[in-house]
Amino acid sequence: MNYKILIVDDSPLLRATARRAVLQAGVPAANLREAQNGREALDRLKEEKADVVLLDINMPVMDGFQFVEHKAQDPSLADVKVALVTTEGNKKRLERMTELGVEHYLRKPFEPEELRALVGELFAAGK
Amino acid sequence: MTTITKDCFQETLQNALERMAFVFVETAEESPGEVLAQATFHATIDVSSDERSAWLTVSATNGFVREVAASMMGLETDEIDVDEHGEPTVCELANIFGGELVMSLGGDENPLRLGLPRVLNDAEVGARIDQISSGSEGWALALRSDEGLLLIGCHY
Repeated sequence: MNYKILIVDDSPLLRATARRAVLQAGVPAANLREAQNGREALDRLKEEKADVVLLDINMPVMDGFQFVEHKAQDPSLADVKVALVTTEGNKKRLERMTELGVEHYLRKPFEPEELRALVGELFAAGK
Repeated sequence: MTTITKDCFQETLQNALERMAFVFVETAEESPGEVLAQATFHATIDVSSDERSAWLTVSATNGFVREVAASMMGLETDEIDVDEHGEPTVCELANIFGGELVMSLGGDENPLRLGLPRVLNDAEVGARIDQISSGSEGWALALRSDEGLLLIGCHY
């Protein structure tokens, strides 16, 4: 499976949890990238594009909302899918993310199986 | 103004820990002060809007940190280095519990925003728990799991 995933979360614990779910879903470790905030994520995408970004919102330096705003202004990133994995639950702020093209959302706290299912769903949509 | 009872939020915390980490907690026999004395890692998170603010603290013993981190990372508890994983674990718990606090204070229409979790030292967390103990707008909740103790302080 040549699917590339970028995990963006400031928490090393959550990055490890997401990494585990993605590996269990069948993505090779070589296709995984990680970033600690939105700024780093944009830099990683410039180096190498990903198919999917698993994105936290509440991060230092550049948060998930700002990342999505930046991504929306860059046509070269238009085909990169974003899935929010976050504690954010505010309806208006999430609707704004949907307007900017975010189609997937998983609210923390989640069960590990829910994250694996989300990754599987993203694969299916990308095939 | 929405208020959150300790009992109600305890149920929310129990559900969150079960969902994220398969860690089951119950009310500890120890007092908040006794749990705080044993806890080795502390974090806090603020939630605020133009109209109100609240904060939450999380304190955990080494055993609790190991149990949560091991479960979330798919490792055995003896594989967890608390020096490496202690602070990230309590910070992520503060983040998750803070998100639950926002939802409890007003649900998905709530304009409250979650701050970034940050580590506290013993003196800082002690001062915050004292602030709760001396006032009426908050509470401290001592919980026990199989492997350790957790103290949640909430001020709103």
